[in-house]
Amino acid sequence: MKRVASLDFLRGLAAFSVAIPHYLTLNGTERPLVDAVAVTGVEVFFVLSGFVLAPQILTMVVGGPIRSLRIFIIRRWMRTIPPYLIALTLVAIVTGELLTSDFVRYVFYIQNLFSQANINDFFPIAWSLSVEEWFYVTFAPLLFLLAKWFDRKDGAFAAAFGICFILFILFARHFGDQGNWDAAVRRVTIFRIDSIAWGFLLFMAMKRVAPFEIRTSKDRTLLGASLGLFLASGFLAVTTAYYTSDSALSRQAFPFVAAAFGISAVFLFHQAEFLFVGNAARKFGIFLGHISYSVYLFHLLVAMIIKPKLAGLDAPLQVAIFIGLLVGLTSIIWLYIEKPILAARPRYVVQEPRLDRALSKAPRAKSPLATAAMVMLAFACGLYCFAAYQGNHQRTFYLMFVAASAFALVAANRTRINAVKPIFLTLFFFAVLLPPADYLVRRGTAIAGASASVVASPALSSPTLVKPTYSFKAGKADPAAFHAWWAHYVDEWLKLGGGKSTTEKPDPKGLLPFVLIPNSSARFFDSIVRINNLGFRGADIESDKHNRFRIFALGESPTFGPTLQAGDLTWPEYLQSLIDTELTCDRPIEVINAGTEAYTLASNIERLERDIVPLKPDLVISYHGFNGLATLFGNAPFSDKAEEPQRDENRPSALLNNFSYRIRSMAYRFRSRRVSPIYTKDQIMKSDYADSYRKLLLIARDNGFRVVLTSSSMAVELSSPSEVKAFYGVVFGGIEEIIVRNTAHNEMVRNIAADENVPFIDTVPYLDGFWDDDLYLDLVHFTQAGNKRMARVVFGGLTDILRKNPLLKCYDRR
Amino acid sequence: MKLVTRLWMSRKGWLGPLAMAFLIIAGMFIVARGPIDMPFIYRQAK
Repeated sequence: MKRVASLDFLRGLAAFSVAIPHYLTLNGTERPLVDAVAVTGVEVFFVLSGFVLAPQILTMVVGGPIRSLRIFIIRRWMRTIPPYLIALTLVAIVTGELLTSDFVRYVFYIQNLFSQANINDFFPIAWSLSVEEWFYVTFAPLLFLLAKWFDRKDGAFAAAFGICFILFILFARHFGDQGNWDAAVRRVTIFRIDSIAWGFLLFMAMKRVAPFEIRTSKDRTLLGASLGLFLASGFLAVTTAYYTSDSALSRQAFPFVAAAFGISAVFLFHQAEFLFVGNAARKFGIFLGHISYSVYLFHLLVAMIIKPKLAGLDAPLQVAIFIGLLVGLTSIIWLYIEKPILAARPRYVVQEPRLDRALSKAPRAKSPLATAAMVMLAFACGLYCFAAYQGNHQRTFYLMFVAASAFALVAANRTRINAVKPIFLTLFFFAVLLPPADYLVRRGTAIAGASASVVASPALSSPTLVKPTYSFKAGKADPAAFHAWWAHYVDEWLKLGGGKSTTEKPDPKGLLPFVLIPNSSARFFDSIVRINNLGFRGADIESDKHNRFRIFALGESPTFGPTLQAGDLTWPEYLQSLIDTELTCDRPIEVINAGTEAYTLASNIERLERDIVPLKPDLVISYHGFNGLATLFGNAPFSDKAEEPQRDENRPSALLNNFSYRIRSMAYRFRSRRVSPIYTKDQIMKSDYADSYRKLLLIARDNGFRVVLTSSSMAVELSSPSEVKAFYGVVFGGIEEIIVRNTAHNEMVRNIAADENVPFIDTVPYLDGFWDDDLYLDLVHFTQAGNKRMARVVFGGLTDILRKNPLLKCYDRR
Repeated sequence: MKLVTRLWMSRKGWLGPLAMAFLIIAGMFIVARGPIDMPFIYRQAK
């Protein structure tokens, strides 16, 4: 059949009528009407597809040799599958779904065969492509077999088959889950495959209708009438699609109304071919037709990538840029991918007279059955290979990979399509080369791993490593030193902790992670961590406070203080010296470090009642944050962050495993560049964290001391450069979620302080996100500069409270 | 690029596909390489 430019134009129009609404509704507010337009646009594709395939099916497949049926299916597969797989792979990379079970279902078009089987419908437009593929492999072969069986190759028989096909699906549709109509019926292959058959019937009905000519008034009237029909059915189709969620009638009617709209659209454009006789118009129409398939396939990908970047612009401008980029991309795909593949498609062989065939010395045609068997074997081995990969069976994986590629190569050699042979030969070589490549990768990792463990071993770590190189700048400048430093750093922490060291023992009551051992000490880097006579970090204190005004700094490890060199001070110690040097008060003031590493606020409340209240505190400064972010805030996510990819260990192929991990990490990093908070005020104010803070205040009231709350600061905050966040995220997994939770924590503390009328010191303006000031050893622990600044900030907030205290009568010494 | 395509698609032999397989593996090597991740070392230290 010759190319009809007007139908090409319609195809392009349909593609954009899906793409533009999808762009507008992506990540945005719900717009049911815009959605209804997209839903209707897809339906035009179905009718159009049946209409253009009908002549091939009728003239070549029905009554023809089996070879023609095979060529029909191969031609369809070559047209549809390669771009589909490319689009699917790219979307899977961007959404982090590469090689998941959902992905595999998409690859075989079975994600929506009888119902929606996928957990995450990350490539939502694939449903209509499944409908198309299953139409190719059911409608044409069935018609072919029945025509052979009944020995009929006339149009009436084909039309009757088409009608029966539609009736059968109509019957099947009644078994669909009507309650979840949009996902479980409208987009399910078995319930929608009849949509394409309508186009087939339309073609048969139109065989004798000549295209309109604009010269005769009769034709002009007919054109006007079909335009009216088109508009009316379009209106009806969009309306029906709009109301499908509310109205059972709409749901029943939609497949028919949509088919009517598709039919009227194809009819109108087919008849209006005279509009495209001009060279430019014809070329434009055909161009739109060429790119329409990839517009449909790639529009979501383009929209996902560019929409966040264009968020600030006006909607029409955004759409214009979107269309421009989409047309550019799809033109390239058409020229360099689709067009060459189409050119390589096998052609139908017109039957030659038997005598000529006997005379010509063409080689005997290869048995299609054997080819099909090879394809099946390749598939089977491929699936087995995939299962072996997932199940970590190395030898089976290698064997099956080689076998699958070998069978595929043999099958490819049996076909007449030359272009596929080198592809499968490449695959075969790849399968053979993979084991040695894996060996090299494993050896490389083993060497690097061995050297890393040498660095991590404390006996061999050189003292020169005891230098806080864990700043972004330093780490970036010298990755090797940074890695060594981090391994050493972790090792030092492990020596301190776990309730098994010289300074920590298991809690006799079993309520706390561990308790500090009074009068003990441990070495941490080049400093000595000393636990005093009463179990607090620092110098010994008396139980009886006498005349002293006692301040406890209650907190987590940043308060406990990882000190590196002899002479380093924790922030409560700096605070003590600031008070001593800058204030003069009636009573001496004593600051006690009540921070403990690994404790949450909940643990510290237990400790407060157990160890601190008996020591009669006058004031407690609470600096809590990180340790409770995961446990006290619950499991519900606080941000719309994507799931971080996990690296699987010991996969059969180290190369494939590392490769897939890197790709997933890249996709993850790409997607988590912009993360938004999704928590609610209710969520944080009703959390265990908020309850713990309220409990702290209650204990203070009952025991007659004051509490000062502080916000918690970290090296990076939401607006820090993504590169820096990724740097800290390497060690603190899920950094984006941590940052959002820390923000939520600070909002919560601020609210509680205001509600309960308690003093609040905001550390955020001075410490949060200052990754470039060398204030942090890692995400949360302070360097000496950080401890000093923290003490200064707390002192600044505290001075007023101390000055106004009538029992202290403090004044500035300066 | 044209040369690679031509070599690859040449119907004569196996050299083009072999070269292509090597190229793909080399490409994957480059992507899969990079510093060992911290969590990996962290696990080792533990």
